[in-house]
Amino acid sequence: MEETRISLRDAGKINPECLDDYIAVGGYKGLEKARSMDPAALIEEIENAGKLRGRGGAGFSTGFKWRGAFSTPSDVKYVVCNADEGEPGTFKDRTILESDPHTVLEGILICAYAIGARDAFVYVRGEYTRCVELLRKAAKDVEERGLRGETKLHIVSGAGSYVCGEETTLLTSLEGYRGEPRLKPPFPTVAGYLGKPTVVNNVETFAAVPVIVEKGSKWFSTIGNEKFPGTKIFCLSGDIKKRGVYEVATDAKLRDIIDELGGGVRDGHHIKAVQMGGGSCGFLKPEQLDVQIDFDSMRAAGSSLGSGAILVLDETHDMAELSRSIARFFAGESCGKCVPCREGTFRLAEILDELMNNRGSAEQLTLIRNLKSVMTGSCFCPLGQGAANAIVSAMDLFPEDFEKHFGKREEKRHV
Amino acid sequence: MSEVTISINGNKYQAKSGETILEAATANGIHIPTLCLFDGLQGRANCRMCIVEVEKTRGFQPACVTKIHDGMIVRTETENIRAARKATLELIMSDHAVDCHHCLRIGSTDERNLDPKFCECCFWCDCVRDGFCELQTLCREYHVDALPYVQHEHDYEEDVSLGSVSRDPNKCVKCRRCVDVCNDVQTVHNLSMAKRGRDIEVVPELGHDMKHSACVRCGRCVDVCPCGAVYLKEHKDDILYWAHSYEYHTAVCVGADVIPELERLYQAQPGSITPRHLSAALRKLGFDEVYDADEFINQAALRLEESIEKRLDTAPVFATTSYAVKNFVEKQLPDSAGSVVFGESPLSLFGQVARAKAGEDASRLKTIFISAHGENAAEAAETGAVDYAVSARELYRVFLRSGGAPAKRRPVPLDTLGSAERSPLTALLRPRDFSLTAEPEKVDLTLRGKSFSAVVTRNLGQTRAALAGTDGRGLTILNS
Repeated sequence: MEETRISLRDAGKINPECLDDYIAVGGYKGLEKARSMDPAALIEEIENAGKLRGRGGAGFSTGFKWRGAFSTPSDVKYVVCNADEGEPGTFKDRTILESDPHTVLEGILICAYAIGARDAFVYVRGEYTRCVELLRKAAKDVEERGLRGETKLHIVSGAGSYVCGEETTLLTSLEGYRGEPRLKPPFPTVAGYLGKPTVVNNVETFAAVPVIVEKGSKWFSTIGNEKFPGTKIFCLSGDIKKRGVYEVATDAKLRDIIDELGGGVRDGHHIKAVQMGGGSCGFLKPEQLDVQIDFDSMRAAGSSLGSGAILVLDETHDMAELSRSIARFFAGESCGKCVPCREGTFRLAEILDELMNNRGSAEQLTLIRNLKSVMTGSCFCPLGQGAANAIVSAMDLFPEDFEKHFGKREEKRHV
Repeated sequence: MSEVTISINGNKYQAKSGETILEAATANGIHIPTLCLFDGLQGRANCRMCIVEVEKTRGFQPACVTKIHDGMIVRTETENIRAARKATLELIMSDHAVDCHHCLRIGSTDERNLDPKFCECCFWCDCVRDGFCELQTLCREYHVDALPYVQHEHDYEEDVSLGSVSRDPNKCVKCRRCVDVCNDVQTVHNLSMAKRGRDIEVVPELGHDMKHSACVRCGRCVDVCPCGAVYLKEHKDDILYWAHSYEYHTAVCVGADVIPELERLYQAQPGSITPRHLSAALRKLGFDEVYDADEFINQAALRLEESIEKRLDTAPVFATTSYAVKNFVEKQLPDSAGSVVFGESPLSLFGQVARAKAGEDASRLKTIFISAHGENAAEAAETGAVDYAVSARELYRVFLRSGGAPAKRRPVPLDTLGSAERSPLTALLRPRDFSLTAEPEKVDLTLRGKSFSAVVTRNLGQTRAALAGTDGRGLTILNS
């Protein structure tokens, strides 16, 4: 199978620091065309693009967001690009930004023109210093070349918090407060940054926008799956021969990506499980891999497309150990705002720590299930709601990995 | 405001649009438990106790911030919700330094029937909020007893540097009421949240201890804390010791505002405790003299009258007798300090009068000032104007320990200074009811033949605003 590159079309072909390179391969033509269009017609074009769905993880319709911000009356509007890529096993935004920052800026400027925003922000993950450097250079070039129109570009660096990748948290952090989620509704398209209508889109989404505008929505709709057209970037990692970033049309099969693009697992080993979409998504068994990589098929298979991370695990891994790593990750990244997440993620890590010290019991696994149901229902934001998903999924699919850590005595622990 | 119809637990109710689910439910007599919410502070939806089921939404919704809409179908008491609330409480409790009444913790005793004798003998309880703690009440409502998790407390050091407002972060439930009241209402901007995840904690300015932070000692954080994480240092053992000691003479000054607070804590009918009941109960404990704070408020007002009278003709006058306001102005608004008249506080006057009256025996005199919320605790601790300043809550605990319920005593009159002169300012200087939502009070008043209008601020935020506004004449009494 072949890659189909849209967002990564110029990656490796141009110098990311050079605006002229980008223009030479047809850059900023989409912006030029967009600015010759009526904003309403432009948004319709994005909506028609077979419902371009956001590539950040939730799969929300991009055109719908733009329409929402466009039709909310306000003197000031904002565009925010979410480049706070923190999901474990995800590195696609980094690849886009490091190989072609201008395509993202072009997408942002098109969006800003469409909804009438004077300020646009790129919120970059704190650890991505190279991306910040490149984006600042690119934004300066755009400014000097007079391409930015009426929109001012701001490049903002995060401070190393996973939960800031959640859009309301990102906006709170952007405003200068503690990185904590806030209540939805009102959604950002109605009251986002500083309470004004704001479009928040992922890097990959913005990177696809210039091409859609330039070549038209009809062209875009013909690529990949009908219901979820276009391409999706996958980050292959784990026990696989060729790890890396691959952009494929959305009608591809997961097994093909792993076997053909990734070259399969190491010789002499076989796949035990695949985790799609990052730390909060469920595992897939090897026999479940013949699934199409679009949102709906993935959801039907009990996993999620999420951010596009594909973590391949061979049979040498202990799922209990992996669950503990996931639990520790969430315990460290919980912002501490709401009780079920703050205490729940800590308890998950604690119970799994006990388990790995061979002091586990069936009761403690039941406790994990109870915690999951409480956290899914009660937590404030998706971090807590999804924190136990992968762990419970591992417990369902690979119970033997957990049972082997049970202690001999099953004592009930009182206070 | 248009009317909408919502369904709660299968019954239809009319409610105003724009209300939250909690407001609509409370207005119709439906109880939804809350922990982090406080009247006058923004809804945070942190504690997840007020979660309810709303049809056509995923997961549970926090009732304190979710707005209602027409045709909304809400359920507040299903099995799932109760289980989730209980699980949340269990998570809080397994992280909480529990040193309250053990018999209450295992759910065997009703709060109303708290037996003081039992308290005396088990000594398990050491928490200042034992018996009137919101967390304890919730745990009883949801029958939280044996916890499924290992009790895993933090190991923070208690911050008792002030000797009055103290913090025990081990008991903190991270509801953020203290942070919100400090920042949004009082505009002191001392407390804030630091760190994340389970290590999240409330810290004073720049991580200093309370004494070296921006704290102005207003004590509002104590008033809003749902449990014993922020509290006033207690002196109940000390004052009982002095009261029982024959070699020492004790003088108590008690404000009228203590009585409603005591009635609330005793869950008694308003009016069942009078100042004379309180006087009798205090004398029964062993205190020798009991004064009404109103007399000293009057004295403070008389002194203030002299200093403000001349200024009133020329410029707007700001006056205060509050220790916290003095700190606040000096620390945060030094430019305005010149325009504020700092009067002697009733507490300090009481200390002076009692000591003067004792004469040579003043070294064997202990003075105790009792107010509703212990707002003068820091003044007593830091200036030594009186030996102890005690809040109504602490007095209640003293009564519980010693079995001296005021309502059951035969009334005895209070001691008096015998001064007949009354100042019109007295009414303005009296402590106000505790409320975070109250607007500044406007009062018309005649002082030494001149009529003018006066404003009484109710919190430091209003004090800041009053000092910033230069227009208008008249008197402004600044409160914390």
